Amino acid sequence: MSQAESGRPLALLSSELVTLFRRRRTLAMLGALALVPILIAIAVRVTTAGNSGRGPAFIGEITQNGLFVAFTALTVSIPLFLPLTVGVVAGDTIAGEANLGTLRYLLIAPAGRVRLLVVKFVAAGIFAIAATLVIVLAGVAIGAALFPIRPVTLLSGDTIGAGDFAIRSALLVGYVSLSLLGLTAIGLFISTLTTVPVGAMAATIVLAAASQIADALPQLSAIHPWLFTHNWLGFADLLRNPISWDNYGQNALLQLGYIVVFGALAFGRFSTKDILS
Amino acid sequence: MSNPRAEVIAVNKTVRWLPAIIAPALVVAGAIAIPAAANAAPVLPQKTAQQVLALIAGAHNASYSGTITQSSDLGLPQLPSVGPGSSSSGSSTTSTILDLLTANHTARLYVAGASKERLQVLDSLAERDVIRNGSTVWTYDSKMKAVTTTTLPTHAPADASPSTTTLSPAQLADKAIAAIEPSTTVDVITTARVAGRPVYQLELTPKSGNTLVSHVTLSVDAVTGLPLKVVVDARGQQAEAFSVGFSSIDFSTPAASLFDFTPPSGAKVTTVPVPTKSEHAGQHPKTTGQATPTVIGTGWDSIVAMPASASGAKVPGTSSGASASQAKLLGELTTPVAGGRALQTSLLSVLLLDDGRVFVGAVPIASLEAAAK
Repeated sequence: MSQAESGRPLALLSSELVTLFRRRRTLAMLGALALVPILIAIAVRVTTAGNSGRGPAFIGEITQNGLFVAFTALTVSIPLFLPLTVGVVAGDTIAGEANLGTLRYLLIAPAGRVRLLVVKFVAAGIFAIAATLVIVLAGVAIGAALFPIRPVTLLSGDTIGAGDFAIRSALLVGYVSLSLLGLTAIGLFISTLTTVPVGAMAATIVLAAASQIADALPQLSAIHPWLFTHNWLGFADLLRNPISWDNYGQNALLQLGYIVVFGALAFGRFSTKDILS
Repeated sequence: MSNPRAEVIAVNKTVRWLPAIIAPALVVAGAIAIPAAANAAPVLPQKTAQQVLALIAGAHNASYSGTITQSSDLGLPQLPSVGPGSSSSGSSTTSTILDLLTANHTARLYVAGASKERLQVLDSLAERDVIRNGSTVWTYDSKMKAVTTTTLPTHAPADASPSTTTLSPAQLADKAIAAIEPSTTVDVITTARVAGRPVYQLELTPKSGNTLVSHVTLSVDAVTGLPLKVVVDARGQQAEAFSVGFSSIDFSTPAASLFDFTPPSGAKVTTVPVPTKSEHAGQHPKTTGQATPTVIGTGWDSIVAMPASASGAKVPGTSSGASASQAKLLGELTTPVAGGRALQTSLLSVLLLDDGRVFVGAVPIASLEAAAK
């Protein structure tokens, strides 16, 4: 009995992950994210115009060092593409099941509503990691194919070797995925409110955009540290020498706060909801 | 139908919403309580202003690293930050100065003894570095990918002037007090915590009634004597006009490798000739003309007057060199006055005359106009 109890969440999670990553929509979104670095690399390769000092950060370095394709792609994807895909997955969690009429059956199995919420959140979080990883790996691959690979110059002007680059890239993927967990929790909560998945997805994505707009207005500087998007571009701190951990810790606390608050809200809503479909 | 079961379900439903009510309250309470507990004022032995100044003078050759934050509220309009990740071409003098005046900055400082320093200004997705290792000074700008290098003359290191070594800290403090006493009242007002360290707060209040500066507060580490924070308050403004200080500090020696800088491949390296006595290592591009600026008045009321050829920026409209956007920016920030334009901030006034002369001072514009006549 106890073994079955402890084994079940993992079984539920793995079946959830299989469903999520077998979906054509999920694969299409990951493919689209992989296209971001590929398009950037090709665009830089075919245009012979030199570094004009314009465009997204790191783009000038690409011709010197292909590894920078990954960083440029991340910078471009963080404000829009990543929240878009994470919003789709997080908004679909509960509302999608409700819409398909499968939510009832999931709850008839003795999984429990809390467990289902946790599994849904973890699965969406794993998607966020996968999405970031796809951008970085595709960036490194296309960068290596089209441009020379050299030791990476950090923002501080110091140069690091391949091992250090791998460690920092892993930390970077961790930072960016962590940044998206607050949004995932918000999406999960919104998803418990409705049975229309598209509505939950749109609301989540709109919130991400609204938060970024508020973050750009200096008149609202008092609330800036509380916005879940505030530290999104702080990943650059991992490219300094030595690494600045302030943002990492601050961001982790902030995202944890959002997970706790919206997790509790989602629990309140989902555990008291009448499941009709 | 008073169904007991329905009641139980209703109570149960309320209980399930409890976490949703408690969690935000806990998060907010934690966010407020934890910094408040860390900032409680410490109890320190009483010290006079002289003793605190002696403490400062005793603090050289220290090794430490820390994060510095700078913020200013000069009553200028705030501009929305440029879109995320875009590298704006912020190389023009006007926008650099404007950036320094209106924007907030975070920097990291590493100091190992008297001869090794590294300052990193942390910009969004970019960084500017100044590295000093003995007599070699490097600067690096990650946006421009530009490196400059300078070799300082060995006999005159920047911060250890001969007098520092011959005078005791107490004598230095007496000299400093004697120098500032005629224009300024110096008091130790209170103890506080800066970057988690207990500090004495030294308040400098100008005796002159004409300056825009209300007072300057200097926070001095109670143990090491290192000045940790400077705050400048302006007359008639509640918010701090200018503040720069450590937000965290660590008194262990930073790694030696931080001070060994090798220009990265692909960067433009420029060798800057040894700075002459009047200018410092490439920090202030203000005084590059041949005609030297003059100082009118003393103490807090002093006004810096720059002759026509010394001032880089010309009056908008008349100059052909400045770009249209720069001229527009200047036009929006300044107000027309008789014979030129004036910029009034809460701490500093600038008078740009049509004949090219520029007057700057921490005084009202009327005083600048009087000095220009």
